[in-house]
Amino acid sequence: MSSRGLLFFVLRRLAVLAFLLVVISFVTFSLLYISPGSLIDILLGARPHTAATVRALTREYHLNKPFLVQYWLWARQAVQLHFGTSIQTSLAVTSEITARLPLSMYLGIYSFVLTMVLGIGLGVASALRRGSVVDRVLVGGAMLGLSTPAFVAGVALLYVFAIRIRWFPAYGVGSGFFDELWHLTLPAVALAVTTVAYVSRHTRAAMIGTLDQDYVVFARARGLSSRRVLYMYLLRNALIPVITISGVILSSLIVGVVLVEVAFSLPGLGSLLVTAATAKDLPVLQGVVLLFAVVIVVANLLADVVYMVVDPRIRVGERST
Amino acid sequence: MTANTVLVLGEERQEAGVRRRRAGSPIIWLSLLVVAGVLVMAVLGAILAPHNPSAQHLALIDVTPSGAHWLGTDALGRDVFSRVIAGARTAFFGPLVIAAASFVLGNLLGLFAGYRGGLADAIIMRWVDFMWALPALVILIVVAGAVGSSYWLAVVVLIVLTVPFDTRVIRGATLEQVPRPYVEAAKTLGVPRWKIMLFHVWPNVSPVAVANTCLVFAGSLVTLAGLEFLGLGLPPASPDWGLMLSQNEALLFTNPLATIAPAVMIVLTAIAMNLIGDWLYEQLTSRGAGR
Amino acid sequence: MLPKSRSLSSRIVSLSAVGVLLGSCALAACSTSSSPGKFASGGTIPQFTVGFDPAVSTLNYAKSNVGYQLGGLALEPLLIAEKSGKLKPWLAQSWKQTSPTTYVYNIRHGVKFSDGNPLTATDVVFSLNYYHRPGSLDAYNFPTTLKSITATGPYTVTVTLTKPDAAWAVVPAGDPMGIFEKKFFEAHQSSFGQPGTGVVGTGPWEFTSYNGTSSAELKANPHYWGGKVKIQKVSAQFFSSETSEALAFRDGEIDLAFPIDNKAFASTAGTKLTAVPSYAVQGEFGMNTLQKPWNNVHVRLAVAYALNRTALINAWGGYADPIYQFLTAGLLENIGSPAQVDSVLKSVPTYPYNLAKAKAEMAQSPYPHGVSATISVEGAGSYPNVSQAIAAELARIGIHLKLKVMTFDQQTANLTSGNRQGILGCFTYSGSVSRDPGEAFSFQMGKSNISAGNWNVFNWAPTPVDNLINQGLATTNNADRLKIYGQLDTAYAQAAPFIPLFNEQATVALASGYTWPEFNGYYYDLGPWLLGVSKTS
Repeated sequence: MSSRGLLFFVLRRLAVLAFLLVVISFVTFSLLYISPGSLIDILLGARPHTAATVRALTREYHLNKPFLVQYWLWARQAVQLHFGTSIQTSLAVTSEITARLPLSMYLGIYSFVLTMVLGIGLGVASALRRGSVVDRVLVGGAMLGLSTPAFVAGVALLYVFAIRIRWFPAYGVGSGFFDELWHLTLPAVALAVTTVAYVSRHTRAAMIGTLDQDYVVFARARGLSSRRVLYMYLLRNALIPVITISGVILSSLIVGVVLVEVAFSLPGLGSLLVTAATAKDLPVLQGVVLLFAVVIVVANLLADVVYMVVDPRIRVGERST
Repeated sequence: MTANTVLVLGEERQEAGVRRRRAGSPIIWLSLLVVAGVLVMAVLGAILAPHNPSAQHLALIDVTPSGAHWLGTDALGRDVFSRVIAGARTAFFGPLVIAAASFVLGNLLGLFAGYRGGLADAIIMRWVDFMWALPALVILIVVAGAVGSSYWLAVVVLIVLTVPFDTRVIRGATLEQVPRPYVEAAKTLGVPRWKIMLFHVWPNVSPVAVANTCLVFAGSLVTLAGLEFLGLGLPPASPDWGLMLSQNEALLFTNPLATIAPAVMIVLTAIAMNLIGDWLYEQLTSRGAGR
Repeated sequence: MLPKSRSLSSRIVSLSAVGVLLGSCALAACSTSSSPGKFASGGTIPQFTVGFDPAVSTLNYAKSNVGYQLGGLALEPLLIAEKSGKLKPWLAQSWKQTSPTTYVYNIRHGVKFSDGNPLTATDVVFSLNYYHRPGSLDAYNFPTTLKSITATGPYTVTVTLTKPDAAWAVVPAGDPMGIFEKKFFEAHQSSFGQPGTGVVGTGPWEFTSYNGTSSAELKANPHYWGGKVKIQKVSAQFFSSETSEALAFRDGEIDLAFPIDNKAFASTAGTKLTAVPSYAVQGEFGMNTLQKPWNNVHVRLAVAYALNRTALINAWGGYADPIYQFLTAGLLENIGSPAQVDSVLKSVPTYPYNLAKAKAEMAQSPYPHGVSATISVEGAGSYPNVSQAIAAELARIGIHLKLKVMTFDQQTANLTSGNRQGILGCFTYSGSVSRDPGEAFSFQMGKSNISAGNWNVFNWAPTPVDNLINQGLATTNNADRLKIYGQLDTAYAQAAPFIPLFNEQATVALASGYTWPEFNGYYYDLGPWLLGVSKTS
């Protein structure tokens, strides 16, 4: 594709992205109003209900203004990363989020690497030995992984590796890169169980499809080493479908982060979301949701762009069918 | 997770002709047995349970398995085995309702979009695209946080989130059917559009739809269990696998089976449903209906 | 009331720790000057780790009450209250009531903040007024009779009340009144007390780092007025679940923890807890006497007979002692000898577990064939367990309870609702606000507390009871007071608007090799409590 075409494509997607974010932010803002009970009471939480606190909240959230004006003022703040203060802790939502973001990102990236390395590796191994015992075990394992939610995997790993045979720490996040790596291994594996299974199944299917293609057969017939065939044709073509599922991988990782952080009691964004939901801490809920939304929307855009670049067959705007 | 398997299925079709699981495969019989067992537990529930699942024997708090309590008791002296049986109800019926509702809605929308094409298709697919990559559990958490915890509310929200998957799959299958001669023939005969859609096209895409429904079931089971695990669904006293898993986590040192048993049930049911879905897909499509 | 975590319960318990009786010391102008050095026995401890659940998100007491235990290591109060309730000087070297409405505190000379600046009356006045300002979460620890707190000299603080109030005497004692440095506050106005900034106080330890989600590190304050501190470094580890805290304790990663779900903690951590009886926290099953079926006294008496305290304590997770009166012997012994208390309580009717009697009461009620009702339950800690156990026990006498799960805030809103008839019955867990029996649970007694925002959730306050409540506070004659509280107990027992179930024990998990001899139910009134921990010799 021409770089001009790509530019147009990106611009168009950016416009869609902006539109989506407006919709999502509107829904997120409306959470305050969907919530049953008086808005003041929700925002006050356990703080004393006095004329002064009510006045302060009315001013902070512009409660005396019309709904759309409130939304506009809130959105303007949100764009500048101000989401108000947490009802539970009275800290700024932004600082609550930034305090936990590194852990969740570490965990997410760790799992993502595991997913890609193990998922693609196992998928390729499985496809190359189609029908063998190895293949059957891997296919069966992938089915098991797909059916095992992150919290079940988390509790199981915790029990086996932290309580029974004590290879890994059962709690805490560690300090320093390697200590963190050490502490976050069990959570990251628990988180990656589903996505590894998913990617490996996908890679296997794509590889098998490609193996049967004429050009592969031809390349082999030409006497190219199977290793070269693997790298030159197979992997590249097999990887393209993996990009198309990146959106699902991401959403699976986000869901998994929430469950795993709760299962391992890790202070990340996921456990923040759950505590906020349990305590009806709506400003925090709004902040975390918006962050997740931005991550998802932007990642999907990136995946589209990568897809466009890697696979020239795809015409602009025809990704989704 | 629903999305995952659906997509993989689509890819695996390219593998047609490769080794298939036949009807006689023991794995399938085992899966059917598991699902049937869970169904029986869900319907009969307390009748099957050796003890009242809610009865507390506060003198028998987290005892290890014995003849009287096969899986021991929990922190309130409730029989874990009976609670596992009673927990089948929320594990089965919620996903059943979700799978059924999203089957109906997803098939209608998918057929309509695929057959009709044009603007309707574009609008429906834009919407599906939007919903496609949403992390369902996160949305359930947010809804629970804003509105309050409720199992059936979660079921309704999950239906809304699942319909796009069905729609997408059915639309794809419908698109393959539309250019076929039998559709052209029906058109020339003047058969009304809705009749072509429902009585001519749908029977040919239904295998995909049925198989997909099994996967939707497994996906919603896992998502709902996750919500229960986080304590944002059912009230704390309810016997539910996800809830038991989190409530009994503290018993891992005293009676680990109280935690392991519900975990095994969740995975077993989900895997059985996924396998049946896979198998159905292969069986039904290999009969030549689908392709 | 309904404290969710220990930090919250300690707040409530230490509101005004001692009450009328113990105020006498203050009136007599005690001026002994003791030093905290007496705690420091045993050898030096290079590093000591304390677990906290939940995480301490801020040390600014005006914004949250989760920080007292941790903050108390660096921020000290003017006075402390000993186990016996006796007030002792701390940052105030002496104090004096100069008129019925005036208290004068003389600040200890030579006390330095951990940054080396001297402590003066300005810091004290600023801190207390900051906690007292409207909107502060610490404000209600001050009585409404407080008029002003001013510096009347570089080392003199004068407190003026609008009218005489014996409750003031104990207010300056306890963790929630920790004094911080004004200058530090002014340099960090927007982030004061928050992670990254923290607080600066005069206490034995100073913060070196503070991360609101994972940990805080403290080191011995070189300027500490009480001398050299034995524990060189304190590390506070935050946990988001008690299970992980217990696992950390099991692995020796933390040396001390205050468990909430005691039994689960002990079994997961593989340790025995130190548990001491306490009268500070009381579990009760409350019934709204304006609501069916609780408006019938036979139903309430049936409930009284039907609740098996042993079983309920099991459901709570143990670590509690059964109680059969509202104002317990433990509380009454603050104003009388055990023998005197015994003789008064002898005549108070009690309802030990007896299903036959419970059924007989039900038969006399309008619901001989059973009735159903809804109670609320906070979905945290052991509340659901106890509530479920109560439901199971009442089902045996035909009262079928539906449990409505609420968050802490929803439960607070339910219990203090202006619609008094709509308040749902529930298992409550109340912290006393004083050790004086007349003050301890005053928030749930009397007509004045049957109103929006107040805690007489039973909506039960007949005029004779209101009279007893007032008489009990009007006199200072302990024998008379004891008699009055005996009558009050009898009135409560006969009408049974709630069923007193158990007193929770105070618990701590302490790693082997350490000892905390002074640990008691009121440890948080001891000033920097960690001074009490030392190596076993």
